[in-house]
Amino acid sequence: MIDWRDWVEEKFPDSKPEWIQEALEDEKSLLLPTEQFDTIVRALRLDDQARFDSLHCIAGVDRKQYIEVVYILFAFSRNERLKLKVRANNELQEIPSITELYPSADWHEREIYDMFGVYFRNHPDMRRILMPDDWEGHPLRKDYVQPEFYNGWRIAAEEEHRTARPVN
Amino acid sequence: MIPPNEGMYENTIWITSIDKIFRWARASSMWPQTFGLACCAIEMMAAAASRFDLDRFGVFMRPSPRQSDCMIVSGTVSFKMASRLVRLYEQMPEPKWVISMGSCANSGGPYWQGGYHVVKGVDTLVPVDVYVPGCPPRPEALIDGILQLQGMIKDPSKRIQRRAS
Amino acid sequence: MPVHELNIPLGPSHDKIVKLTGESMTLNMGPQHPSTHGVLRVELHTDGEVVHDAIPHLGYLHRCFEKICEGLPYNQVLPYTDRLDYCAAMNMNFGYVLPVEKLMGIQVGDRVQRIRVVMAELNRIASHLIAIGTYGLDAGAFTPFLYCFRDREHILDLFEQVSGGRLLYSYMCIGGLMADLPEGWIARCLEFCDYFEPKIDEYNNLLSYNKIFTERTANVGVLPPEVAIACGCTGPMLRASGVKWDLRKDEPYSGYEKYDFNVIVGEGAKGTVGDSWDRFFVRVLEMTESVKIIRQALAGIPEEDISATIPKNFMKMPVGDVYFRSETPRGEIGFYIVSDGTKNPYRLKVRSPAFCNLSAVPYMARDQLIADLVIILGSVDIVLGEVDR
Repeated sequence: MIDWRDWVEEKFPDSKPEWIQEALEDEKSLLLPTEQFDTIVRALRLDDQARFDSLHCIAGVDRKQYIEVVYILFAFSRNERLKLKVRANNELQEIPSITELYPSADWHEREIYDMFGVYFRNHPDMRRILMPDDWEGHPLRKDYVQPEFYNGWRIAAEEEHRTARPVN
Repeated sequence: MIPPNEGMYENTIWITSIDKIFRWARASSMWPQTFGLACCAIEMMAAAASRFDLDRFGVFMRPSPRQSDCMIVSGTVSFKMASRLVRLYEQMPEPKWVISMGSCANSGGPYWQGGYHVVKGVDTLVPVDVYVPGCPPRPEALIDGILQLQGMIKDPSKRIQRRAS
Repeated sequence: MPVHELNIPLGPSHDKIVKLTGESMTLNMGPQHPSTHGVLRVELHTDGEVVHDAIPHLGYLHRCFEKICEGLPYNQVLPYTDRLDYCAAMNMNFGYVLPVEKLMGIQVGDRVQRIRVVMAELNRIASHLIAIGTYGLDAGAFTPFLYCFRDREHILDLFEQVSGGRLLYSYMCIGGLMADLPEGWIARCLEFCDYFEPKIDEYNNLLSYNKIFTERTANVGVLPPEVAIACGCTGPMLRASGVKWDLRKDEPYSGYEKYDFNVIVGEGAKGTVGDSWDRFFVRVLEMTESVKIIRQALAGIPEEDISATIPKNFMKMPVGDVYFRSETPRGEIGFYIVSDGTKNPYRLKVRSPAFCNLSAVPYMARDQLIADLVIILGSVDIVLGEVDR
């Protein structure tokens, strides 16, 4: 079993990857720097030792100070899974896209842009996927406030239930 | 078999108004548009399938709005879909009716609170004639809704006020 | 004079063969369309009948599932998971409770595991019946649709006896089940298995080996295995392209390692490996395997208390994230749950199989006819509830 943190550090000495270990033993994630992210993933995809040939999903998490994007890679030949985390914390919040390595990343990255507002540099088709094109705001952010109207239609229900709980 | 000369001409001549015949024809041959959006669409398909046959009520699903006279909105309407729904409603020829099937179409359903992309009830978009509650309503409930609509067509005094939207 | 003796001169442009070019026509298929299996809009760029590009547009059923779940405790999220893939609601429940139980460190008992497997497999059969029936409808055959729904009603009867719902159950709860099996349910389920097995031959005679159906679906929409893996396809779509990968065998959960069943892989029996006929036939054969699993799971089921491992509350959740995937009729569903210690999930992300399967449609639809595009979309077997969430 290769320790991927050591492997990445050996290949990219100034990248300083770290393991993030939380509650569960086998759910540790590798935190990678945002700028070199696509070169590191290219090595993970193409290198003979690594060969993570499939991308399962890309998830975004709004951690209030930054938006964390989680990539889950999978190697069919070894039945091994690797979780990568990238933080979008600079003001432009751009992450390099990995669409040319994993074509399935195309739609996942569009969804992250739609829901969180994170741009992916070099993405072939960066536009909203689930929400309408003229929707304002990025819904899954923690500070998202539902607008009152959309194209003349009221969004919230007219009679709110008395015990309505606030959504976030 | 009734022997001849005994009650042969009873029940073969009816005297009625044209209105009644038109209403009976419209109610007995109501062709809804296949407007299945979400989970309720599966129950609508099950209602049209083998066990709860809808064809025996004269209901026959039509894919095109221009050939249908009823729209069964089954499933959640989102704001992205809302403009298309209104357009399809406008494409249906008169007389037309709308059955709102399921709690999502009635009032937003389980997504009524916190659902930023869910239209809270299809009656904010189009006038609705019958609301069928349930999540999803059983096919029997949908059949009940269709029969109610048929009753409303045959007897216009039964129609409730359409909600002003 | 008879027609064949007439000397009809050739047209004026015959000698100078003019190459006719046309502009690409943009057509809209959906969102309301009888064959898109829900509210999907496909933007077609066609040259006559030949499709050059098919771009799916999603979001017409986006129901804000992930945002709503951030405001609810873990056990109240359960009914919303039903509504993700409403054709296979038990599998959705299953896919949700497994990562939460992994996060909380709950180990459920053998009876709960077996019942969960039986419910998941029954729902797999029901979902494949919908897929097969509506696929026949897309190709123009109405009878298999009625036959499939007739048999599906028996499964829905079983589900109704157990959970009270026909389509959406919320049956599996975190740590156990909502209610135990009623008396006589196991006998009825085994009776259904005996009734259902010969029906698969009926479907094969009606649809699979039907010459018209075969001509419509064989060699249409071939998906090579490399493209399938690159697009993130899973489930019957990946297996039909020849890749032998089934989570129930390769990463077993909930006791699947104990059961003996085959993984059905597409072999290109009627055309090329990975065409629409293969995707369809993999689903037909998977139903037989599901019946096998159900029989094995019900044999020797112990009598235990199913609510023994249900947690009392969710006050003390560990802080961290978990990703767990399980095999649904459409592919692998993954739930990525981030917990911050409170009783609500901080983030709940669903990796939906139909979302990834749908991204392979532009590759499959290149240079196909519009009528073939309908067949391709039907063979992907999408459910918009989980594509759009």
